[in-house]
Amino acid sequence: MEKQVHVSRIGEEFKQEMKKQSQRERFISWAPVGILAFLVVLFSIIAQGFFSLTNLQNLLKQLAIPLVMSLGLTFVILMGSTDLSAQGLAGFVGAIMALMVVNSKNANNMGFLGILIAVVAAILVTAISGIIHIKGKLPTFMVSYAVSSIMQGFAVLSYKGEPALIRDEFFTTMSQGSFLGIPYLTYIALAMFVIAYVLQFKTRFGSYVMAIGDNEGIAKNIGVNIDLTKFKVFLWLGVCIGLVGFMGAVRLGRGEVGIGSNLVFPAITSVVVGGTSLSGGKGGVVNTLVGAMIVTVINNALVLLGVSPYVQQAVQGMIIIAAVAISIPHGKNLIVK
Amino acid sequence: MKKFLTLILALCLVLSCTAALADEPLTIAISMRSTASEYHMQYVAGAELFAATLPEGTAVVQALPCEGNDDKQVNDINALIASTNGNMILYVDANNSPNIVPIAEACEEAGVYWCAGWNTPEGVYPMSYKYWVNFQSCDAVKQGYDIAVTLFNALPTPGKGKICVLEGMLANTANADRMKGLKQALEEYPDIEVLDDQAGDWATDKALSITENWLAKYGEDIDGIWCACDDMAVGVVQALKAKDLDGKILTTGVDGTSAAIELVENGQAACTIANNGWLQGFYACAYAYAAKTGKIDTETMDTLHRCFLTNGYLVSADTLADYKATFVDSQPQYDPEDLDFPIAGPMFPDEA
Repeated sequence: MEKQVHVSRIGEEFKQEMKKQSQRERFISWAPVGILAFLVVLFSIIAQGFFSLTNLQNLLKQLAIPLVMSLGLTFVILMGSTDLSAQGLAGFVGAIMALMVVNSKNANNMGFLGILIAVVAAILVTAISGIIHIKGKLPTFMVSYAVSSIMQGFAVLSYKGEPALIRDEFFTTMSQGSFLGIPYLTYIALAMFVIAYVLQFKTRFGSYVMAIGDNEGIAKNIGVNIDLTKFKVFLWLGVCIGLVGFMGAVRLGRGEVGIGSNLVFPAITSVVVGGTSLSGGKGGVVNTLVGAMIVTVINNALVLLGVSPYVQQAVQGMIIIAAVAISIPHGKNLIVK
Repeated sequence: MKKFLTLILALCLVLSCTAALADEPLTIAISMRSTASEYHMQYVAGAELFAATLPEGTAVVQALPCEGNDDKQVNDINALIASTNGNMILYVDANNSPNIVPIAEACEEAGVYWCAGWNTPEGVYPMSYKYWVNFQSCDAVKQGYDIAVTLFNALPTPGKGKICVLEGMLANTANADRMKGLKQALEEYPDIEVLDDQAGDWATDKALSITENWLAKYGEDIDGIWCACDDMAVGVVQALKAKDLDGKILTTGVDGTSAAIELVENGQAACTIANNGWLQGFYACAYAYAAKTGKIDTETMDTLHRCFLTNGYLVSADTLADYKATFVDSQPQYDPEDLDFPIAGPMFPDEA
């Protein structure tokens, strides 16, 4: 009788613990959304001009490039890897694209074909870097760093110090135009989000990526083609970097290597702030959307608040640490490296 | 017999190597941060202009971009000294100030005459070295002041209005000096109000986003944007264009890139200052060559000729035609014999 009571108490405690854990997980999964809502309300109250139509358009415009970059990196991070090639590669795409459309440096006028060639070049480069990683068994971190340096060199060589100014009407329209008040570039980013969402949640590819990130050994044992899945992730990254190069050239109105600068680490930050685990297997593109929004809102509001540039980066860093601390799992048994 | 043939062969090799070295043209090396910078490439163009003043085939120009890597800059120079056997002259825009010391030591040891621009550690100057001929820099305080005054006078009500300030990198000497110049101008123009001050880190994309945010906050209350460099000015104008405010809200730049010259031409920027890399590159080579050929003696040169400021070229609507005629439509012409020409003023007024 006493033994039966004891067993029943253990069962009850286990149930309670599971319930608590489930509540904790639900809290953590919604935490990034809560943080975003909190920041939006806070900045609407204290930052002059934040809650305005013009600023909403600014936020949508400023979100576009970081979101596409983050969506590309999300799948890489979901499988437990990382990639730095965008720094040089996006600059290279922007630089050669600018030289192929109507520009200030030569008589080319390849229009869409120029854009297509540049984007395809990005896909080829990430495909090669993927093959080096998969077949050469080299860490993605190092391979992508080397690829970034190489592409940065090619980008610089392509315009030799004087970036091409884009004169193509299409680029001007893309840069300044909007439909229903939403900038064109933001539509591209949202379309990429929809495609990324379908890839992650409606295809086997998405499940395989999660499985590889969770435990590559088990994924291999249950028949997942690891190499092919990884290769596809690099192709997807190439598409995203190609678009980022295009969008960067559209935004700046010229093709320069600086298009890719300061993109990679903010994009990784967006992915992590959104709640995706750096060790892979947890999170996804919805988290990335929220993370990219949080980072964009912080950058925007600090300027609107007139925070001194001397303390701005420190404030930005502290907010990001706080956001990550709230939105990732904690616990005594969790191992964090 | 075999020993004799080996000796003859070795002798031939040594003689041919010596002959080859004797025939090698002088290498004129330009060590700078990046070939991606239009301004840095002007140093190389200036060096080529100087090389063209020497007898044909006696000098070759070699650019040594370090792409922001301190070690690469020092290693490349050491490698070139070794490969040319010291038959070279050099101009260095140090990636970071501390790089000057190992470069000076390497040149001193190899007997390579060289000049430097922009960056050197506090207290490290050519006067302590035989082969370091001179150190030149633009007066960044004056640049900050000049672009501010030009902007203030170009506002809808000259000398009166509200401006935003876009700095470069906060920890950078050039930025700090340009800000000093702006502050001097603001003291002279009490009717100019600074709405906000942000750092764009010399980056076009960051300048674009900051300007978009300013437009959301201040709208058309902004009369002008003081911007510390040309690359950022391009970003500022992109943001203004999207709101159809380019030309109504003027900005400024420094460096004299072709993109900024175009902004001045289109009435979108009040001015830019061309640092004149041609002049800096040309006269750095002229000084180093004069020292190498014994025309000047570094040990008897005065402080003014060993540390001096060079003049930039303020490009505004008033001076645009002159600037284009001199630097765009034709190549600038300099006289290598007139070594006083590049000196705009002393770097140390008390010692001049």
